[in-house]
Amino acid sequence: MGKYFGPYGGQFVGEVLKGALAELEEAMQNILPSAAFQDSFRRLQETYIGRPTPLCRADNLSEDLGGAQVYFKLEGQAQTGAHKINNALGQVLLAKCMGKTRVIAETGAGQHGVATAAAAARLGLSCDIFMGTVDIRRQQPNVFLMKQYGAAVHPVEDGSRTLKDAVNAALKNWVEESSTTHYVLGSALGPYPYPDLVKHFQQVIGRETRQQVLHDAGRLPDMLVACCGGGSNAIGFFSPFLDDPVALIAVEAGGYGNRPGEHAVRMEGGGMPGIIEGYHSLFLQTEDGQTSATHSISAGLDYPGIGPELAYLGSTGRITFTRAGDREVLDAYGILARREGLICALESAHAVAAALKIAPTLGREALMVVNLSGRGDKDLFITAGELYRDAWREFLQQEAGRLADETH
Amino acid sequence: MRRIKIMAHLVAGFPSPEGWKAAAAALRNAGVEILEIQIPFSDPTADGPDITAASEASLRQGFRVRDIFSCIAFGRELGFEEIHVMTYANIVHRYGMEQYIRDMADSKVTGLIVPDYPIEDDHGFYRTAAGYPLAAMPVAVPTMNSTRLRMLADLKPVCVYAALRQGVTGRKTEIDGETFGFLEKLSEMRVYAGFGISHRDQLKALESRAYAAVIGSHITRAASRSSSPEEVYREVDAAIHQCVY
Repeated sequence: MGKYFGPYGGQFVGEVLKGALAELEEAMQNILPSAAFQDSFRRLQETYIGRPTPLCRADNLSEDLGGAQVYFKLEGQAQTGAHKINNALGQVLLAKCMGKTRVIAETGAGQHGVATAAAAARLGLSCDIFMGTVDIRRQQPNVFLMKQYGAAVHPVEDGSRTLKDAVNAALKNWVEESSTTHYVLGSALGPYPYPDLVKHFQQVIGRETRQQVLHDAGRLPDMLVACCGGGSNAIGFFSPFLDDPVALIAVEAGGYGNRPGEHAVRMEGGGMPGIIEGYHSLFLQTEDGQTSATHSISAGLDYPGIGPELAYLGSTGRITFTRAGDREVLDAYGILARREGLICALESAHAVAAALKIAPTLGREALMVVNLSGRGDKDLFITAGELYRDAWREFLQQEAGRLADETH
Repeated sequence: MRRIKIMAHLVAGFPSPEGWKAAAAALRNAGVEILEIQIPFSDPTADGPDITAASEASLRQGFRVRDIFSCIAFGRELGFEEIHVMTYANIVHRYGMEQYIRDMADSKVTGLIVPDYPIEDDHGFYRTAAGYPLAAMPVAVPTMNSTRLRMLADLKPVCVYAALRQGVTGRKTEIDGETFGFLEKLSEMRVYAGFGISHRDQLKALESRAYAAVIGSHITRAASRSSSPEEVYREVDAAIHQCVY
C-alpha cells in the first residue's frame, strides 16, 4: 500500500477525519488478508456478483476493423450491471467486519449508489446515498432502484449539484457519524487509503482478464483499453499488467468541445495539479483553484478529478491517455450492439470508440482487450433520446398520460 | 467584563461586496476583537450548510482570490486587533504556497488557517509559515489521540484552532467537562475555540480556558437574511449581540 504515487495522493483532510481514516487503514491491514474475510468474499463474488465475468472474443468487429484481434471483458455481466459492485460489496463486507451498522456512499450516474444499496441490502446494513439534485433529475431510474434496495437517497443541493458535491456531502456526513458508519467511496480516489482500497477490490477485473486471455490465446494481450472518469475500472483492469509489456490506454470524456465545461479531459494538459476532496492529483479548475464545470454524455465520466495513481502513471508515460467525444461514443455504442450483440454503458462506449480507432493501426497478430465496465440498460433514457428521439418522445408522452389518467 | 476575545468569521464577498463591509463594520462596532476572513472555495469539505452556501453565493457573484486583499485592508481600517485568513488547501496550492504566505504576511495578516493541510500532509506549510511574522494555525479536535497531540505539539504552534466537537461547522455545541478536558491538553498554545458557538453562555463557559471564541455560521446566517448593506448591518449587529457582554 502506498500513500503517495509520485507527487500525487496523500490524505489532505481535516483533523476530524483522521481518526476514521486511521481506523479504516487498520481494518484493511487486519481484516482484508484474513481467511475468514477472503472466504466470505470469494463466496459472494461467485454466487452473488457472478464472477468470473466472461471474456468475449469479438470476431465480427475484428474482421471489420482489419487489425488487432479484439476481446471484450464483460463487467456489465456483474450484479447491478457494472464493475461498481466489486468495490461496493467488498467495502460493505469490510464495514460489517469492522462492526459498522450503516454505510453511506456518493453517486453520480447512480451506478455506485445502486451497487452499494444492493450490497448493503445483501449484508444487512442500513444505507444512505448522497446524490446531487442535477443527477437525481437525469438518473431517476437508478434513484428508483436504490430505493427498491431499501436505501435512503439524500438530495445534495450544494455547488454544481453533481458527483463532486455528493462526495463532499458524504464526507461531511461521515465526519459526524464515523463511529457507526463506513463511507463506501466509489472510485480509486479521495484521501488515502481509499485509492488503495478501491484498487484492491477492482483488481479482480485485470486478474481474471489475464487468466482468460492466457487460456484463450496462450499469451498476454498487447494492449488494454478502458474508459476513465475517476478511474476505478481502469486502475483495476490495468494494475495486474503494470509490469508486463502491455500497452495501457485510458479514454477520457471528450464531451462536445475543448472549452471549459464542455468536456472532462483532465490529462493531456486540461487538468492542473490540485488538492481537492482529500487528495492531490490533476483537476479541471480555474486559475484561482475553484473546480470547473465538466460535461460528458456519460454521467460516470463527468467529474473534474482523476485517481492519483492514474495521474501518476499518466505522467510517467506508463498509461497513454486519449479521449472520445459524445458523438463518436454514440456511434461506437451502436456499432458494438449491431456487430457483437453487446449493449454497453456510455462510459464503456468511450473505450470502444478509442478501440475502433486504434485496432486498425495494429497488426493482425496483435491482441487488444477492451473493458466493458458496464452494460447499457441504465442509459436507455439518454441513448433513446439521442438515437430514437421522435418515437421515444411519443412513448414518454403516452406513459405520462397513462400515469396522469390513473392518478385521477 | 468579557474575559475572552471574540473571533468573528465571515466569508469574503458575502452576501455582496458592500454587504460584507457592512457585516465587518457591525462586528467591529459591537466590540469584536478578531476577524477571520474565509476565501470562498468551490468544495469546502469542513463547512456546514450556511458557510457552504455563502461560499457558493460569493463565487457566483464573481469573487476572485485577489479580492481578499481589499477585505483585509478594510478589516485593518476598522481596527481589528488581529486578522486571520482561512481557506482550503487548493486555493493556497494554486496561488503558490510560499507566495501566499508572503503576500498575507505583507498585508499584516496575523494568522492563516487551512483545515485540509493536516499536520503531516501539509506540503511543508507549517514549517514555511514559521519563517514569516504570522501564525499558521493547525486544527485540533477532541478525538485526537495522544500520538497526534504530540505531533501537534512538535510543530510548536503559537496558535491553534480548536474545533470543539466532531462534524462540520454550524450545529450548536454543548460546552461541558469533555470540552474542558480537551482544551486542557492545548494549554501550552493560544487557543481559538469554535464550531457551533452562537450565544454568550457558551463564551462564558469558555472564559479562561480559551483565548478566543470563534463565531461563524451564526453570523453567516444573519448576513444571509438580506443583501442591502443597511439590513446586513442590522442583522449581524443583532446576531453578535447575543454573544457580546
